[in-house]
Amino acid sequence: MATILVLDGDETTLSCLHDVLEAFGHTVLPTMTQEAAVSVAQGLRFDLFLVDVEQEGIDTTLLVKALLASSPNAVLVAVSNYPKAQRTLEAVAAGATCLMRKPFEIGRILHLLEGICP
Amino acid sequence: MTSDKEQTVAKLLEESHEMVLRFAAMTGKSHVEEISAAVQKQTLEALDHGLEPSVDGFFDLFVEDDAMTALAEFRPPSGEGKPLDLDLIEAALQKYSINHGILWDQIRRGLDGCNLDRRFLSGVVVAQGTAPVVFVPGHLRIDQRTEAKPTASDTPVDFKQITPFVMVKRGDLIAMRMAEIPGVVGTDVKGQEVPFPTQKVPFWTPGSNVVDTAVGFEAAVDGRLVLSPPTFEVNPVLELKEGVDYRTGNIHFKGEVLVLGKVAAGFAIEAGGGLSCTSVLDAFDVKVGNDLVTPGGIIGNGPGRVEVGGQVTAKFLEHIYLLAQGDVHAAACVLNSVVKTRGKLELGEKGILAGGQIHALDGADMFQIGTPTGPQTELYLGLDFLGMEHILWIRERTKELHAQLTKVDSAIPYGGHRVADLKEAAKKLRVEIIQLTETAREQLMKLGQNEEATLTVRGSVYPGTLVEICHMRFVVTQKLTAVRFSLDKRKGIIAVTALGTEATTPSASSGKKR
Repeated sequence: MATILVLDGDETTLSCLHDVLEAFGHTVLPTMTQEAAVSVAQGLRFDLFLVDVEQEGIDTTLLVKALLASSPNAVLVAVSNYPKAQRTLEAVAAGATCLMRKPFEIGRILHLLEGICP
Repeated sequence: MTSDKEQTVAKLLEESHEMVLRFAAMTGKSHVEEISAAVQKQTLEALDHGLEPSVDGFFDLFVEDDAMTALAEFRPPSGEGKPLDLDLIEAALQKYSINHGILWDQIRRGLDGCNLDRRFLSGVVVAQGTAPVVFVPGHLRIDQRTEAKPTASDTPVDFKQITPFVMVKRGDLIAMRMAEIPGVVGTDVKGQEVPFPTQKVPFWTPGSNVVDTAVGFEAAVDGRLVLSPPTFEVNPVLELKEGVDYRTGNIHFKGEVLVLGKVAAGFAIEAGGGLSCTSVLDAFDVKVGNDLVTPGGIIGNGPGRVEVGGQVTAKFLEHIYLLAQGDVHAAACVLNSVVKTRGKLELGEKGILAGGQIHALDGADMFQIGTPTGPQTELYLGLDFLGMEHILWIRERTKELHAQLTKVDSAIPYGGHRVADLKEAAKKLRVEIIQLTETAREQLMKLGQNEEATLTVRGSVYPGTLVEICHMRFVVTQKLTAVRFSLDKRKGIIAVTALGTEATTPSASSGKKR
């Protein structure tokens, strides 16, 4: 089972993702700020990062690099409704593996997790 | 020397002289052919005499081990031998004790062929016993038809259509009662009795969900025929332990379906009863007669749709087109889906609805609609989607008819000798439009409507959300928290009430849909 870090400014979205993914046996750590995400990432090894890159006040490049530095083998998904937005492009340039529409796509996440934890 | 002696000597000398003269003459060349012919004649006569000795006609019999058949050999007479006669054959039959099933016609034909045509005949059946009739005990015969349809040899096989399951409907005859066929003893060619054999038949005993009738056993319920010799029964639940894939084919089951594994993409499931999935239902084409329940979620797959006759209960719904006759319960979220229910949509304690369209006759209840930057969400409440779909279909057809009528009307001035035809076509189009309009009006009158339908949001509703109750529309322009949307019939607006206080918030966006 995978260990997943989710960064999203919407508490309900975090709660919902937590609820859904834990039902499939995964461990989900929800965070609402960049600082919290980086701090949590330091202490654990993650398989998947789900990061809302549209969130106000985050430095996308710094965040993505910090998360991937803490868990180099993890998959980082940038969550955004604007694939050509500056922040999205920065996330991809910094190492985001794929993009996902907001608020999230459960089918795609489960498919990704099947690849990570077959 | 006496005179007798002299006569004898004289005769001897004379014979010797004649012999010498005869042989001396035959040694000449002119007599070689004469000698050869004589030799040939002597040789052939001797040969003929050796090849065809005089032998009487001969008859021999052979009785097979089971004594059910006697075979004969007819050997014709040769030379000066006697022909075969019936007495000889009768004697042979008697010798072998053959007294039953004697085929006299065969024997006569054999005699004629043998004596008249001098033909050698062998393997001629001259006696045939009477075979016994097999005894078949009374038994049950199971109808093991399968659902797989035969296809033409040049038609590509859709392996998804092939299923190993035998589905039955209530009242289907699944085990036919076969009556006993009594056995009859036979007689061999020697007149001995041959006992009848007994046919081995399958032994079946009825299990659960089958009823005894005059002709056999019928299914008491819709379900799957299960054969566990010696028991046959109908299981109203189809349990798919390894999910749905090429091993199971598409599922068409009259009863309850329980899917314990995954449903592979592209496979259809049709359950006359309910459908339960323990994993995520990757829904391509799903039809459920009763309730659909999954502790996982339902994820739409391409253009497929999910039709449910009862309620839907799932952890989440994503990218699906769902039509449900009953309530829809999603514990976590409904994302980018079209959900149409003749009941109510209810989400869990922190349930999110984001994106897509909701049509719910009895309203909806959830924690949050949309996200700060999420997709637009539309909710149409208080109307029966089935009636609405019919009305919308009529509206589209009417538009098409109007467009056609415009074309026909504009062509009439230039119609030449076809003007009458064009006018007739225009008349028919107008009649059709009037009829469709009337049908739509009737449908609208009958349309299921629930003016008490409300939308309750315990958390936030984000801007961009469209709420429509019984054709009255409200567009959320600012984030609202803990509110209930309802129809204020007196004012003709959508009232937005804060939960707990029940105070009404003025709704500037509310109004009759144009």
